[in-house]
Amino acid sequence: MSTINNNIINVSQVKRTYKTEVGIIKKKKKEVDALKGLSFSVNKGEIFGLLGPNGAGKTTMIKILTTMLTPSSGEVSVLGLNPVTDAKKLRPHINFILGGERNLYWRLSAYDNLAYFSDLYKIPRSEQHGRIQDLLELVGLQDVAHQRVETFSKGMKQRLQIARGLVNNPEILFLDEPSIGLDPVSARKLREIIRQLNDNGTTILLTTHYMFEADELCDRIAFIDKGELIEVDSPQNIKQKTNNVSVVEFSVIGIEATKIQEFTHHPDIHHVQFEQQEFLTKVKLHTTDPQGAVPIIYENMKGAIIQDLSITKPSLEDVYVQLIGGKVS
Amino acid sequence: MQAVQRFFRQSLLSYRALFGWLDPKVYILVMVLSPLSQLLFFSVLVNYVYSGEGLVGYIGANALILCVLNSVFGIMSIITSDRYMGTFQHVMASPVNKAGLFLSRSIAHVLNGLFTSIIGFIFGMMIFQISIAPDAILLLVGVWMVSIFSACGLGLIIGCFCLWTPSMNLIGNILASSLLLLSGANYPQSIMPVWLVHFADFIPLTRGVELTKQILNEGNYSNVFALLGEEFVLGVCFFIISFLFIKYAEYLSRVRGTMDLD
Amino acid sequence: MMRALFQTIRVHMGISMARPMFQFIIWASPLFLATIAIFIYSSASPERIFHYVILGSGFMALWSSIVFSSASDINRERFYGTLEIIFVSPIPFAVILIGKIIGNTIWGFLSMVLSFVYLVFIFRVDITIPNPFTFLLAIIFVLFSLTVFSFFLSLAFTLSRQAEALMNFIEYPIYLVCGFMFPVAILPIWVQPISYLLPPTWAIELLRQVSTENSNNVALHSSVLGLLAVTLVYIVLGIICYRAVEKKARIYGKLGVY
Ligand SMILES: Nc1ncnc2c1ncn2[C@@H]1O[C@H](COP(=O)(O)OP(=O)(O)OP(=O)(O)O)[C@@H](O)[C@H]1O
Ligand SMILES: [Mg+2]
Repeated sequence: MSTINNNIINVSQVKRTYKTEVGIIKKKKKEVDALKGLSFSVNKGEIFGLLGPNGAGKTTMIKILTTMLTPSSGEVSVLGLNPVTDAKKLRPHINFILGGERNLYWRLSAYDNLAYFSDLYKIPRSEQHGRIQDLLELVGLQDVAHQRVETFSKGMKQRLQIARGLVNNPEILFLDEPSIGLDPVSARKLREIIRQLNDNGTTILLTTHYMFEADELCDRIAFIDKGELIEVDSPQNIKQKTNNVSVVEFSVIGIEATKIQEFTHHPDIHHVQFEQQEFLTKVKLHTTDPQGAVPIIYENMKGAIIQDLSITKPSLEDVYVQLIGGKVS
Repeated sequence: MQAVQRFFRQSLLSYRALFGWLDPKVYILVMVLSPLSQLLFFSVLVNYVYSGEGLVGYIGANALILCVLNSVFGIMSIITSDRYMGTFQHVMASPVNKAGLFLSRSIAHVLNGLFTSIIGFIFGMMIFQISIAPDAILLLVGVWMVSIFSACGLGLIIGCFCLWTPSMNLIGNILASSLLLLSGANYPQSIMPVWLVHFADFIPLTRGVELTKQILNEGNYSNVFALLGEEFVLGVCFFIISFLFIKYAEYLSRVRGTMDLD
Repeated sequence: MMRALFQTIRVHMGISMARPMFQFIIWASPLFLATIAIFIYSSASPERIFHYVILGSGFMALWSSIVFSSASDINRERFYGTLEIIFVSPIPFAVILIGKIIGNTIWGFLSMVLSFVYLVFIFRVDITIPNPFTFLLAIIFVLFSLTVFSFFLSLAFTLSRQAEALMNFIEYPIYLVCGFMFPVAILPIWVQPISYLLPPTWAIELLRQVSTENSNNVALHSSVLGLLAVTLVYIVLGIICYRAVEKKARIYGKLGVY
């Protein structure tokens, strides 16, 4: 199995502080600790997910790994190189993609965008043409290759970004929220492309806010919050860790949220989420004793209509919510 | 050879990608008609006040200055537009040599400026029905080329400033007005206060304008090499300074994290 | 209604000044142009300097802030999709538009004064106005006339996208055709009728007349009448455009289309 030598990315005790000045006249120095001693490593050939709430430090970590930012302290190595001092050597072997519609030249065609970035990565002209064709095919844009990017839909732009990130055939590809704002079909297509790349040997490090996506794609996942590592393991193992917990979900009509809160203070019920919809309230709770929890629910809500009650195993999202502790109400 | 080809391909592609005025209608409006209307205004004014004395030199000088201003704006877009599109960080994180890249991006704007200045000059000569000595033409093109190169260098520095401030239009306009004022395109430099003249020595186009007037009005070619050499050195200095600024911005972004290149 | 107008003026003056480009137009641009003009006219007589440098650069300042800015203000509202919102607000659109224009006029006037002061103190240009009171009246008349012209132009630009593209390029042609820095008489004969269809030509002419010592009454009266006539014409045109804009907005619902 994986040995130390297999680690293609090594992050150890990385800290990063941002110093900002607030106020115009009376300048006050403010420090934000975006990363507070993060350590993890990524194996060669793996899809590694970096998950965490907004402001957790995911983008900061990606910027450090892609030579765009230097850490305040700690050790980083990517492909055996230090992104701080060996940036020049490292850059040809990696690439990165930031989700969203920007980061492309809208006034150029898809083909020209790729040609331009190929030049920036010093891909010899003789190889460029064939490579660009392959990439366009990979992301399904061969038919619109000579159309200006400004005419593309968001999904097409995002796919072109993927192709852009591949012009230098990187050994590691970094993706920061690649599926943001995509419709379900486009998002699935994107996942297929990522998997295909991975099959061909590219190591991938991605961030995402979609748990099912991480669950489906990633070999291993790191949960980070406020710049600290919470958990790192495969999605299966992470879910296993909360194996004795079940998720009870139901919708209820004709009862106030406060009332539900009262009885859910029961010791066996760990975590409660509400979602108030037009007529009904959706409730989700985590419990170690579903058999005990269900009767409590019915007892305490006499007169209310309970629908769609189900007991399931926790999804990655449930684990995430539990670990990060953000109560979504 | 590969590198040379890449240099020019990058130049062309960036011009198209970042400048976006290639739409012929917009190009004519912005790059040609707008400077022509300014040229006409200043030419009529100068012709009236000086009763036609030295007119051809003033038209030439105005053609150079006014048509080049758009190139200066264009060159600022090398940085500002790239950043606006969110591609600047990708460019900076690529392995390409940055100085070479920005130089190649500048070339298109230098040529563009030369082209529009020549159009402007021809237009001015036609309106006022004047002609110039044929042997002056080649020399003039050379002088203008160097002057525009130097102006583009300053433009690139200003483009770097725009990494710090969002008011690119403001800075660009101040630069444009300063060049118009200091270069002495519309009056003999001797009219300006001495301290302004000294200041103008460090500004691109001052020497280009002076040479244009000398060549066209007096047929005086004697200062060409001295002044042009100075202008060229000035331009090289501007480019070096702008590269240092880009490096500094990269440092701020990477190490201090106080600048967002995206 | 009056309150709404004053409110618009106050708010708009703040909004305009917050834009760096407007700051440039008001505070910096007139100084650059005044300096260039005074260098060009350096050896001219004081009267010519007053007519062509002081009034000329002052007028450029006025023109840029009143007409140019008002037209682009409307355009900006359209770009951000707020034009329709303004249009359906309970305060009549005309009041808001006039409020904006008056706001810009106040800034423009300050900018003109700034360029006067600059030329007087830095370049020691001496200004002698034979009849200050008449001059003041003339200035008020001129400001009113430019406001009217600006009202018309902003609306015309709202109506047509072609016109809107043009707007960015009429700055110098207007300086040229209206004779801001030289007499209109030096322009080719066929240009002059166009000059006299535009209020700025008459306006600057009037100011030159009232500031000339022992100017003859005929010339003075004709420029007063001329300015009055073109102003009336643009009032009518302005009203017509206003109706058209209203129609476009309410009936065709096309105002916001950008
Ligand atoms: N240039 C900067 N200057 C100051 N603070 C910054 C800067 N960039 C990021 N931060 C701060 O660092 C922290 C981590 O930011 P980061 O962008 O890495 O989060 P993230 O996990 O990518 O969040 P999101 O999911 O919202 O993209 C945040 O608190 C953020 O405010
Ligand atoms: Mg992020």
